[in-house]
Amino acid sequence: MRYVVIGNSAAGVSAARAIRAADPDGSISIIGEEPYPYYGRVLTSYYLGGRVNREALFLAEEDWYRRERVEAYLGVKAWGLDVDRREVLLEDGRWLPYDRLLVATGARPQMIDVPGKDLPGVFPLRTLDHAQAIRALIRPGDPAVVVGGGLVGVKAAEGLLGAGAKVTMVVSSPQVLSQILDAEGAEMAQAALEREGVQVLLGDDVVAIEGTGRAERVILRSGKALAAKVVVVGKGVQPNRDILLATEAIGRRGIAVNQFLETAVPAVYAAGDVAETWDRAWQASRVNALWGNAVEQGRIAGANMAGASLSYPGSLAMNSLVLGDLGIITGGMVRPPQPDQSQPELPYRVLSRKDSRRQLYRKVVLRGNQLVGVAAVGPRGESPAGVGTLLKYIGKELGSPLLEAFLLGRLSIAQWLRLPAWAD
Amino acid sequence: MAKTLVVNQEKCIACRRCELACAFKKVGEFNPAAARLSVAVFLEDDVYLPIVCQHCDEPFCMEICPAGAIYRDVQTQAVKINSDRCIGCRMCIMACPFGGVDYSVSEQQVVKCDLCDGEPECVLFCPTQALEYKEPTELGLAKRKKVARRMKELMREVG
Repeated sequence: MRYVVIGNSAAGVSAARAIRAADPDGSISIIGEEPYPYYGRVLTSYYLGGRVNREALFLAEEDWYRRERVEAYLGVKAWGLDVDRREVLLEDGRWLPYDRLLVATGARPQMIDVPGKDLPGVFPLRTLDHAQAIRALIRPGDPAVVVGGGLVGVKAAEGLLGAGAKVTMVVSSPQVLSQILDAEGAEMAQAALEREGVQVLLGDDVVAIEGTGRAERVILRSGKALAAKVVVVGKGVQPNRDILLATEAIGRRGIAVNQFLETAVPAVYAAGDVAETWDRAWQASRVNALWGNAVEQGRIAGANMAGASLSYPGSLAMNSLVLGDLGIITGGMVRPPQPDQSQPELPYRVLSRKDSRRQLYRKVVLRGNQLVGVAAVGPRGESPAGVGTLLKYIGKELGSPLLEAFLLGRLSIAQWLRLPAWAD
Repeated sequence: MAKTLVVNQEKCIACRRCELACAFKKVGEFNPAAARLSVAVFLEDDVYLPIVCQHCDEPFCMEICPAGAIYRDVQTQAVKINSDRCIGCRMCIMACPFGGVDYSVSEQQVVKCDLCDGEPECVLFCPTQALEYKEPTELGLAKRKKVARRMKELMREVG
């Protein structure tokens, strides 16, 4: 069996591992656009901030590919696909034939479309190269602007602070982390960012980046001008789905897959940030571009490519981040859709509780009696044991004493043991 | 087969000496919150169960760790955290179905059982041999299944 995997990150590599475990004799090729062996993308902001050295970024040595007999085409882009002849075209003109193909092409950062966006000094932050380029430019005391207050923006701000920059964050929404937190939780997150030294500007947009030969300042819609040696754009990501664009595998945002992570194209699977999978909380297909989901999807897709028929239980939006002295864990649907004219009544119930003295915020979202979303914000030192476990029960029914204990910030290990952990 | 922590649930009397011994060895304090294992107590049902890392053959925590900080010790087969590499993202806590990984408040980092390099302190201080460090025998596995069944029944009652 000839397996070809396009993508050398979380989904691609965990798929290659699963394939090799199930099929010791098959030939496995993995194509990676970046010239590096498998590394932790999650670590790029830590590398930028000097908290992780370059060596520690790598999660597989070059030796791993040799040992596992995985032929690596690194620094090469997969250019096209002939689904009838079952061959992948590489940018150097080579064709790689496959019996089973995994598209794990990930996602690319969405950039902003304003004058000056191409000036040197304007970067996204996703790859090792991005982090390295920003590091090379920034000096302690330099002004930096982060565009976007989402996860990438927040991580970028932390990285830049670590590198000694003076950071201003420009957020178009009226709050930070609007994808994963409601206003109350976001307020605490913003305060934590500000305690770290980030200046946060809400409800404003970048309309131009100016400078002679390189970025020097950022102009905002409000008319403000901010000095900026580096501008880091964190405005979300776009699935890299071009390779299947002309096929019926294309979904609403990414590449649509079934419960076995197969696409509509025969012998082609998809996993990771490019895949549109069943979301357990939303009960709909969504792209949940997160490391953990990518690892799990890769493992299941790989096993299935090698002959298993494992069913993917579905993805979830799940995040855990530490902002200075604050810890944040969220999962599932934290902000349920609001009723409107077309749907005046929605079945969601929101329970939340804020304890300002303990710096604690808890929120659960229920659909009927089913748990569909969880958010826990609290002191960094707080043990999140009960919270992480609660995430596993998204999509299931939970008794009210447990929810109550969670909202009070008192979900203990003894209590979670009472959850039906072995029942599923 | 490598030795691991075997829990004999019937013998546990919930004295919590294991928690104290573990915490003292790891952080020098008798602080159960820093212990790498916890005894779950169900007084009304007379059931006590130490919860500790299973050092799984295919550990989800190790697989999911985006920092490559979780590894298997070749000597003891323990699944360990390299705290120099750990970035504290806590994905391992979310991934473990057994509550085997926890966040230690006093150390401000993610911690788990590392089998004390082959001399688990909890076993040393367990007065009833509810905790043993040995190769899991078939008997041990049967016992675990029994425990799991019992827990399942218990949970159904609690609902």
